[in-house]
Amino acid sequence: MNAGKLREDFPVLQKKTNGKQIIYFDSACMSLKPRQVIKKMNESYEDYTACAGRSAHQFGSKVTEEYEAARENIAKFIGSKKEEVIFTRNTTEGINLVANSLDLKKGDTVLTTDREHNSNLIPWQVLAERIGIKHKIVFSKKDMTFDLENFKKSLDKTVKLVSFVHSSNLDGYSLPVKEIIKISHENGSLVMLDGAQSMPHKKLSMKDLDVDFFTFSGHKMLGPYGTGVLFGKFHLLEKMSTFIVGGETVENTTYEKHWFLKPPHKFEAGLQNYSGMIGLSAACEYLDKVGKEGIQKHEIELNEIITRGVDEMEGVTILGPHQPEMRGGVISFVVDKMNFHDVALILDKNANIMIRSGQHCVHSWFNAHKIQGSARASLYLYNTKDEAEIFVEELSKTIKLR
Amino acid sequence: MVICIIGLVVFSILGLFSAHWRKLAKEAFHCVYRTMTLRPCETGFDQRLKASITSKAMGLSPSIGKIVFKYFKQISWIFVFAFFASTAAVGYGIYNYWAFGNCNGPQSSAFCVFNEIAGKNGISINDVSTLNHPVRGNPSAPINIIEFACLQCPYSKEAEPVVRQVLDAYPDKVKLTFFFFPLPQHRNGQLTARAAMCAAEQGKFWEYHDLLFEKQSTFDNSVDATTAAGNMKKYAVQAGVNSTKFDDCLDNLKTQNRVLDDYDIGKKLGLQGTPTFFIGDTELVGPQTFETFKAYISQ
Repeated sequence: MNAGKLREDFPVLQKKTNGKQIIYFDSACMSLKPRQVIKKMNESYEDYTACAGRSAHQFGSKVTEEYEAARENIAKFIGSKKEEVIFTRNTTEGINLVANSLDLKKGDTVLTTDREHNSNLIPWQVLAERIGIKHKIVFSKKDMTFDLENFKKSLDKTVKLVSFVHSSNLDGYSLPVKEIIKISHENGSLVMLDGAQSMPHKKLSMKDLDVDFFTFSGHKMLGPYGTGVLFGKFHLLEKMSTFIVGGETVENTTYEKHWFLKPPHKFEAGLQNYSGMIGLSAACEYLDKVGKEGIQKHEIELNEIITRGVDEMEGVTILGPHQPEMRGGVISFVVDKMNFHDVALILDKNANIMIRSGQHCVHSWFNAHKIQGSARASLYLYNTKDEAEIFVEELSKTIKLR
Repeated sequence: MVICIIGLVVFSILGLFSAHWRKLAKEAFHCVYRTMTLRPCETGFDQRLKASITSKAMGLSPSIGKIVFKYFKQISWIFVFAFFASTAAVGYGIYNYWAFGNCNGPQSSAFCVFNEIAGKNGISINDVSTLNHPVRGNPSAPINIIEFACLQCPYSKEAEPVVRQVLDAYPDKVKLTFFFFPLPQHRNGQLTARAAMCAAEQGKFWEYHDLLFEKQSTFDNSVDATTAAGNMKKYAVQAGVNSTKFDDCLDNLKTQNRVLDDYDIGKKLGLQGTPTFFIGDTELVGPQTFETFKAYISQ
């Protein structure tokens, strides 16, 4: 994988911002977009704007064709069937869809880990308040790796769903999901993975994983804003209740009744984000062409440079496991006696380096650990070794302000 | 956070001129309001401001950056106090001006900016005669740039290359007329003006003027009057001036008066510094870009 060459595909990296080139290290939040994706989206607006699946005119046919081709392409990309791909706005919507459609009953248990994004925490807390499900947390080991024994102990017959983050946006750590899925299935529990941070970086096949639900966002994997996917095994989707209902979800209605379409359409109410999904499909093609194995290897190489550099800095602690290969492209760190927002803002103002700071929507973990927040650099295919080295140099200058 | 108070004042003033600053002023106001109601400023405006200022300070030197970052709150307080103190002083000055006609109080004859603004001593540039003043460029050019400069002033020197560029660019359109305005803070300012006046007597003004700018460091404020006078004479010889006549002229009362006449005109025009240029009625203070001159010349 040649990051230097790939960068030419990203218009924003060809420009100068505030007089110099940017170093974009916030891809765990939002990835940059290659011109191939932008072009496909623009084409859909410029050349064939219409309603998919209803207007019979030539633009209507074209947009339906492109939209369904996008679904097929994305299904291929994630190793699933086309009917198992539900288009959403983001990972959060996917999780909410499952939470609301799985018909969980009072007394059913949902397990999550101790470092879930708010999107995989609040839906369960709300269901616990509304219908009385039990929401239990599987705590990690002290070294922040997954505690398999603790997990096994938490599994009982009331556990209907294991809803875990695949790769954490807090520290980049990835759970041993194959083992988790196998153990859960043996217990008769379904498994949903929040793949917002794993799908952009890992080569994944839903079929091989044997996961029941998997949800991810397009905007973190070179795709457009407001795009996401929920994968669900077809037989489960068929049985599930609907979530948001209305136009596009039904075959027919009378004044008294309605007949829902089959999945995925019964879950996709109202007019959809056609250009977004067409763009996301282009993003999948792009990632496939580059090869996710190469991307992951590249990110770890850059992470090694940064981790080595950070290790030499006094009073800077990396959150999560220390080995870069366990954190992929994420370096979340705390600087003693310096506010995390100050670190991020000074890097931004001083060196055009963009990183995230705060609690990264994992407030619960920070509160439990009595840490106010962290600064987080997150990498992707377009980042380079030079950028990693500049980051280390600039971070070292910044922390000297203390 | 305290910095928001300064931000509010600065951005509100700048906001009079551009919507960009008005947005920041609004954010600063929000932050001040939150601070005053003992709540944290949740927009991060204070932290962004701190980061911007620290980053600028780091650009000067890492140690200045460190001081600014570490003592940001204390420095902000100093600025807030300074702001209120200066506001009070201005208020007091306005009261004095209203009550006694002078901002420094009834007994004072010191400089009062309001007098200048009100044009109390006022003459206009159109009242000034340019006769017998050194002219550079084509004397019959229709546009006359009048420059008031001090030959010891580094800014006057800095302005010079652009002035020359302008004269070269508009050989038939623009000329420059020179007036002396030796500033009191330049200890050898008067001397340089007298010396240049004497060179002008012998028709060597511009040669001498250019030479003095070139050698400016040899008669700056660190150089005493005797050494500086020696240097003036030395340069006169270099510029091809007859040294006997020059020596006679230099301390001549008439020369002194002619320099003071120029200075008086400058004072009456309300000049605050050098160089000051006049193009028609327009007054331009300080070194200017070629584009600025070009814009006024095209008008």
